[in-house]
Amino acid sequence: MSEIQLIGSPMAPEAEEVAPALIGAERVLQPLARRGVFRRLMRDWTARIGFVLVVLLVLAAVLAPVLAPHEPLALEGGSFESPSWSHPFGTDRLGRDLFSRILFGARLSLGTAFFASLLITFAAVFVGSVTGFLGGAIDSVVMRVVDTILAFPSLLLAIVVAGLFKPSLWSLMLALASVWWVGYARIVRGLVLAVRERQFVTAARVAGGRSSRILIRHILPNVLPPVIVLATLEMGTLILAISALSFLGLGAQPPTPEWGAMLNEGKNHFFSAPHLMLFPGLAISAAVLGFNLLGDGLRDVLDPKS
Amino acid sequence: MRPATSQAQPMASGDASTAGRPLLEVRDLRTEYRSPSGIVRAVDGVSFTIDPGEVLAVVGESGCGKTATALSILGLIPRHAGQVVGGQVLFEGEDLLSVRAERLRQIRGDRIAMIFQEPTLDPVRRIGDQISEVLRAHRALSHHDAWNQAVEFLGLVGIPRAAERARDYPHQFSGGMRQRALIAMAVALRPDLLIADEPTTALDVTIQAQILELLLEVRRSLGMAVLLITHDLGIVAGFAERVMVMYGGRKVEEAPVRSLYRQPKHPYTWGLLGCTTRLDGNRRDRLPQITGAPPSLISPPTGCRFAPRCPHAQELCRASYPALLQVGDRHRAACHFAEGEEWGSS
Repeated sequence: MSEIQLIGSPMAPEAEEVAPALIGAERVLQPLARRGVFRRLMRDWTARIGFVLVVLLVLAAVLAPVLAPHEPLALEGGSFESPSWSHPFGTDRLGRDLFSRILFGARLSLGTAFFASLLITFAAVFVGSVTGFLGGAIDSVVMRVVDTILAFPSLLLAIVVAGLFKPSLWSLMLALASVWWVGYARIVRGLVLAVRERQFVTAARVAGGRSSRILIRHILPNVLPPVIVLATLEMGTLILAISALSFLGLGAQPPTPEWGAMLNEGKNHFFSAPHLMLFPGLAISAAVLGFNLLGDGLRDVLDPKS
Repeated sequence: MRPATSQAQPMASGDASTAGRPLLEVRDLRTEYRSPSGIVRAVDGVSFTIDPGEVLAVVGESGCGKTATALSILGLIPRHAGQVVGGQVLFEGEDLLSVRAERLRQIRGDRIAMIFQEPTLDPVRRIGDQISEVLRAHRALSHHDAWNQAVEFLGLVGIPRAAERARDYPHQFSGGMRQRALIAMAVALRPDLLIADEPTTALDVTIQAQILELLLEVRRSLGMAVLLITHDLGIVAGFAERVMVMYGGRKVEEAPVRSLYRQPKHPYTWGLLGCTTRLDGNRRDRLPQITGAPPSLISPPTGCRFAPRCPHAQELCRASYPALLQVGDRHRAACHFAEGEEWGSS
């Protein structure tokens, strides 16, 4: 190794090919891609079931207009028809096709849960990483606020917040997000505290890295896998919460084909037309099961010890 | 920021303005850690200098303040754990303990780099990216150029097929290769001072020799000064020019390598040297050891801190702490009986 070699920069020919591919590479996804997450996820049969369920539900939501045999709001058949070829899940009191309503309901349930989950994750990652990284007074104050919100049962608090607005899926989503983020913020903060003490963070500091850069480039990518697992698991919980609150009339309003609201409409006719509650209930169960199995599988795969 | 032209000069030669001035001068450094049982005086009034291009080894047992000294120099004592409570750290005349945070950030990595015992890299980022990042933190380089330089440096520290391996993640590297990558990262900006905190301790014995050889080579070609922290006197002899022995948060002896090995003046140094295994020794002998444990730095003994373990301790030793005395050419020791006595003969 000579002085001249160190100063000059005779580029290796391979180096030039490597670099452009890296520019603009999606850094956030690197940790997932490198571990062959999907391949390993598919080895676990429960995770496979979860994945299939989630994919089916997402397809149902996306392709609802194509797949649905009828308009979800159209009064097309007789009242309380049992399942048949033209109405696979039967019809409701007003003669609306239940199958079509459930397909369109997937859009609302999954969509609302997804956006709520997104909001929650962003809020939690922001608050959790800033407090965990900075520590000190900011950390103490914000964490006391978090503790206060955590002291209340989250569903009850969400009902209170949702009750402040005119009932709709939007207000329901905001109500859930405003209550749900706190638990996550605590978890993210804990993860950040653990990563902050690792030696590569000290090494980054020694190398003259700016704090903001260390947080974004080193700490966040390292807390991301558990956050993804949490967000996936929480999708199931959120779908359940959305359905529950809609069932109580705090969310989607008739005639919106939301699963919880459909359960509510069906409950008065349970003995004469049980399919009105059976199919929305199955849809909710499938969604919750799917996300839970997928989340569990992801947790096993993304565990750094695996 | 230093002008770009000065980078091409090996720092060992120095220019007119810095001639004769040490690169780093630590004066009366005091660092305390908080612990549940009290204040730990990890570094208790340590002073030393390093000249441009010089290799100073700091030796001593675990918990004698070696690492705390290094972390204090770079302002890396975690705020919740402790703080530097006194002294000065003059880097080219600039006190690192009182400069603004942004200035300190500019110095870290660029002028003073550090490598640690554990070869730890960020597990979720490519090796090449991590080296590029250090380059880009201090130089206006495009991503592309920084990447190319990172690849080049990986090659220079002996990573085969560097262009390919730069795209690897740390778990795809062995411990020795990770330490090589970290050395590449540390010297990529051609710092004037490299602090190496037990750089070989966590590695296999065979790899240790290779990493030391690499450090020697890098130092030779870049002419940087090195502060080598170690408890292994075996590696000091082949690497360092001067040695500073620390005990109980204080400097107890300081000497050029030769005179330290030939005529250790402090009984602690003598004990340390006695602990290195000799192949030509009598196989039936037990390996020599210094009995007892290092003193608690929460309530250190009055008098000489080594007195409780010292085979030669007298009343005087237990009563008063010995001053650092000049005992030879650039050779100083903090022992009441440093002059005249030859501990090796006892």
